[in-house]
Amino acid sequence: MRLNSASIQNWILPVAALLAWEILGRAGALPRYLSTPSAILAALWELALTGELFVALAASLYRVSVGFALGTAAGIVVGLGAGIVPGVRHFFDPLVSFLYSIPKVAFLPIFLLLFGLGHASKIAIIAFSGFFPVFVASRHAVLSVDKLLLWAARNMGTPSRTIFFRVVIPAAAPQLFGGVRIGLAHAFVVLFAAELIGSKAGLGTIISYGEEWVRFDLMFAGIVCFAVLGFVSDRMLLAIRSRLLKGQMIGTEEEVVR
Amino acid sequence: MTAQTVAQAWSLIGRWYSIPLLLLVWQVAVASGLVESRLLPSPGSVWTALATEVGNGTLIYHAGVTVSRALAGFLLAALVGIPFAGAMARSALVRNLFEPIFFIGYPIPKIALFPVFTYIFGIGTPSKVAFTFLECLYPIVVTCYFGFRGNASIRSW
Repeated sequence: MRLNSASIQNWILPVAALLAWEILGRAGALPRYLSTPSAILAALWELALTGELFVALAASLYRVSVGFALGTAAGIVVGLGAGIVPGVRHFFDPLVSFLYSIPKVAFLPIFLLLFGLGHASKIAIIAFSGFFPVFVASRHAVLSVDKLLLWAARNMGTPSRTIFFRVVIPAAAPQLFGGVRIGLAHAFVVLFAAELIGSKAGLGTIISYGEEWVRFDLMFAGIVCFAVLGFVSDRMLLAIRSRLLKGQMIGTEEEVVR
Repeated sequence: MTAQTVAQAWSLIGRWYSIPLLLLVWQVAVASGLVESRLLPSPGSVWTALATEVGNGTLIYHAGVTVSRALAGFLLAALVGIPFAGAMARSALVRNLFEPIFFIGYPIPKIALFPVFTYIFGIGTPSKVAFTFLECLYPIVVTCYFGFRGNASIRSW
C-alpha cells in the first residue's frame, strides 16, 4: 500500500475509534460492559493459552463448514435441476417461494428439539438456511442463460452433456456465486443464533459465558473471533470466485469491493 | 372452453401441488406416530393454535410489535444511509474516511454484536431497532454508493 493522503484518511477513523475506546475505557468514562481493546486482546491471549479458543473455533468452524457445504451442494444440485427440468421446478418453486422469505433462524427451536444441542442441530439449520439463496440463484441462473448460446450449441450438434458442462454451467456461474455468497452470510447469522441459544461448545458459547460471568472481555474476544471468521471466509469465497471466473467479472461491483 | 378450463386447472395443480403434498406428508407422519407430536405438532393443531391466537388478538399484537421494529430500523437506515452514500460518492474526503468501515465491515456478521447492543440499549425495543438499523445500513450504503457513483459525477458536471 502506498502511503498517500487517501490511504492515511482510510486509517483515521478506525484508529481514532480504537484509541478513543482504549483511553476512555481506562479513564473509566465508559460503562463496564465495553471493556477496552487491550483487555480484549489479553482475553484472546488467555483463551489461546488455555486452548479453549481453539476448541471453540474448531467446533464453530466444523459446524459452519459442514452445514454450508451440505446446503450449498443441495442448493446447486436442486437449483440446476429446477432450472433444467420443468417437473422439478414445479415441485420446488411453491415450497421455496413460501419458505424463502421466512428468516430461517425462526426454525431454530424445531431444529434444537429434533437434533439436540450438539453439532447436528447447527449443521442441519445452517444447511437448511444456506439451501434457499443458492437454490434461487442457480435456478434463475440456468433459466436466464442466453437462449442464443443454447441454440447455437444445439444447432452444431453438441451433445446435451457437453452443453450442460460447457455452456450452461459457465454462463450460470457468476449468478450462482452471488447466491453462494448470500448463503455464506446467512450461515454465520444462523450459527451465531444457534450457538447462543442452545449449545455446549463454540464461539457463541464463549460469548454467552462471558455475559453470564460478567467477563465482558471474554464476550468481546468471542465477538472478535466471530467477526474475523465471517470476514475471512467471505474473502476466501471471493478469492475462489475470482480464480474460477477470471474475466467474467470485469466492471461488476464485486470487482471494486475487495 | 371447458377443455381450456380443465387444462388451466391441471396446470394450476401441476404448479402448486407440492405445498398441499408437504402438508399431507407432515400430517400423516405425525398421525402415524412416525414423528412424536410433542416435538413436531401436526399441521392441524398448528392451525388451531394460530386461529385462537389470532382470535384473541395476542398474535396480532406481537406481530405489530415485530413489524414496527423492523420498519423503524429499516426506515432509519434508509434515511441515514442514502444521503450518506450520496456524500461518499460526491466527496473524496468522506469516501476515504468511511470506505474501509463500510467495505471491510460489509462481510462481517453483524449479529455478533447483538449482545453488546442489548447491554447498550437494554432488552426492549430500542436494541432491536438499533440492531435492525445497523444490519440494514450496510447493504443500503454499499449499493446506493455504487448507484450514485455510476451516475453522479459525469451528469452533475
